[in-house]
Amino acid sequence: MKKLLLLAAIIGINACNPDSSMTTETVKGYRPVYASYETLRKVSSGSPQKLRKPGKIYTKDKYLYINEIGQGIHVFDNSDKTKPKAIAFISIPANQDISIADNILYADNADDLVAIDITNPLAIKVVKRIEKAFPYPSHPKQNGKFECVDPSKGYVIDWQYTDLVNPKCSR
Amino acid sequence: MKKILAILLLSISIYACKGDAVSVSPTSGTGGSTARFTIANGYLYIVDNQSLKTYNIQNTSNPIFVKKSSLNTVVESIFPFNEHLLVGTQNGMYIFNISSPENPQFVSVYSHIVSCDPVVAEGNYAYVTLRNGTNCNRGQNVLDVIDIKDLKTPKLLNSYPMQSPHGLGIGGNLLFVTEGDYGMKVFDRTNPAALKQLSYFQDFAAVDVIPQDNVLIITGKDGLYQYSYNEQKELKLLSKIGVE
Repeated sequence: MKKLLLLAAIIGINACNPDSSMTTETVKGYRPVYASYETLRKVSSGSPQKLRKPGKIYTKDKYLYINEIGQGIHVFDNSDKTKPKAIAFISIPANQDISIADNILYADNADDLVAIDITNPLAIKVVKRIEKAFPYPSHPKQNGKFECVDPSKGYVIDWQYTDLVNPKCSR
Repeated sequence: MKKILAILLLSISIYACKGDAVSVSPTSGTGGSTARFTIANGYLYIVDNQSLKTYNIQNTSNPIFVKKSSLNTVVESIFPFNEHLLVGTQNGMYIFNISSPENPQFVSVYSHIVSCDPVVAEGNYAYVTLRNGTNCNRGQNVLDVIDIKDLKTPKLLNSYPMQSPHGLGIGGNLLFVTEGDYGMKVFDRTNPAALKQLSYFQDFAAVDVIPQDNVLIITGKDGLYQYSYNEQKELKLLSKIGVE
């Protein structure tokens, strides 16, 4: 019976890891950092926030929009360019890009595309969400070894460079 | 009569070029050269990893997916230009015709070595930056000026060495090139075949840039800066929004 268990264990290990030997190898590589879709799909607006990691910019009419990388959009009234006035912060998790038509802001929200009514930037409304409009991040931008992604754990919001044991993916 | 007709035609063509001003289309704003979203004639165009996607936004609150055009390269940016889209990719600049907006037609590609590539254009010239960076594998740091008089056969006019070019913008005869942590360069582009460097701001980091109505908006890791510029090519700081 014991032998059978051992045999099963060996078969199990081999099945999971067909190409590598029994030895474990620790290497530097990238590990995906996940966030749940439930958390990521919470789009809301509130009072202005400080700039921390400014990304791309967009202008329309008297307004200036500044992306906070991966967090959302700072809205400024830029009528007086010597004194831009912070109006609101629109929280859009995992956001990088926007574009605006009339009073509707289009934004990437993880791998979804959202259309947001910004008529009142302090009380925005998501009017449409198109799920899976963008490719799922299946690998880090950098070359090297990485832990394979598991979409059932959520969306990859970052990659952490760390020690990995027998990573099975690389690019 | 001829004069009136000419004026009429001219005003029609101005409206046609401005796209957004046509009454049926929603009005859109302006993004920087690193944008991956752009709006033209009631359509939203988005580039992602490997494709160009078209959405109908004639009813702005109800974007509808129309088409995916595959590109066999990593896509970096999109720039609307006279019924065309200039798409910056790691393999070069792709040109699409969008006179039939639901169905972008491939026109040509200006290819070069692998690097990161935002693009802007005005008149007969396109300006493309090529950056060697972590996301972009091997490459060079240069600014290419491309003759696009004939969009079917884009031709390299001249190439200028850069340090770490990220974004760029055109304001009249001025060309602004952001150099990431190295700052921002200002060129006189009166003669695009022989750009003249006018100034080099090294006291702030610069990534994305929008020149508009004689005001230059720049972001980088230090915050957002607004400068006024004029025909005399002078730049004056108007305001800064710093980072925490």
